[in-house]
Amino acid sequence: MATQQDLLADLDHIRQTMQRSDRMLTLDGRSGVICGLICLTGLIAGQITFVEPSLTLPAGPAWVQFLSILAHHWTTTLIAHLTFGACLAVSYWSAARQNTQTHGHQSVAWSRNRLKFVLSLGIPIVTGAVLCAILIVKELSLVPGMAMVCYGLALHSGSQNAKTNITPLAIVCILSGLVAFAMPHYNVLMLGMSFGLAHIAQGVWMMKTDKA
Amino acid sequence: MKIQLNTLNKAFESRVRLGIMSALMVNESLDFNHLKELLDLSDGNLASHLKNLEEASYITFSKSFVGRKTQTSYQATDAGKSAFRDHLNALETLIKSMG
Repeated sequence: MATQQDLLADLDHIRQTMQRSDRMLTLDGRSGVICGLICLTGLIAGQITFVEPSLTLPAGPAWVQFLSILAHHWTTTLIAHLTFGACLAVSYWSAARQNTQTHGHQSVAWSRNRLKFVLSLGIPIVTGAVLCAILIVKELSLVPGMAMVCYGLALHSGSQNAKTNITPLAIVCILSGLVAFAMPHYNVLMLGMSFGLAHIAQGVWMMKTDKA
Repeated sequence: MKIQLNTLNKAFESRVRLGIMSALMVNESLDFNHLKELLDLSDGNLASHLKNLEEASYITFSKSFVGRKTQTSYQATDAGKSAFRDHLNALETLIKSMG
């Protein structure tokens, strides 16, 4: 014999176990702080070095123009790559170390969840990178907005497989991206808020909750 | 209020076995250490429940080498998945009937 409460508790136990087992990936707070610091450093360096804000394309074939755009906006490109690279590298290193300490080896389930996470994050990121590459030639001022929106969507998608709650960061990135899209003269400010400050805040919060 | 449990599967009476099956329903396969960590169980306790489910043909296991260590991975069988779904449906029906 069992009470209705016992049966409800069974259902709750099933639901919680399913959720926990499917979301084993924990992200490291340090990755957020490092991402944010790299972004802010890049933006400040960009502001100092960009003496001439307007871009005049040199005469010549398209590939020369493309290279000159990349050279002129090297910090923006560098920030995007370094931010994402640092995030993945630190998370990977930390999760692998944590997993090895727990099990002595990398478990099959951990690897699969990691793959799911990387795929759910990677598909919107790659899409965003292609769109940004197109926009670099078509309309340069829309690149930061597009990058932030796609990055935010990627974070939201990746949050489905991560135990860490990264949805607030995703929303900040998407909103900042939309603002930058609508008002490109706020590009640097929005980049600083989303890729910079929001990442640092998320990282600090993650480090605090991990210790708790 | 008390409920007769004769419509529920006896193999899933234990919370531990419910937990094992729940995890294996949403993961293609899980290794022993992962299950132990997930369900917070001792080796012996988990092993005995896994054996019960294995005897009921609800799960299967496979062994592989990771470096020098053996790794045992568990998977839910089709019969196990079907029995677990039936158990879930029975649970929900019972709860609704009490509603």
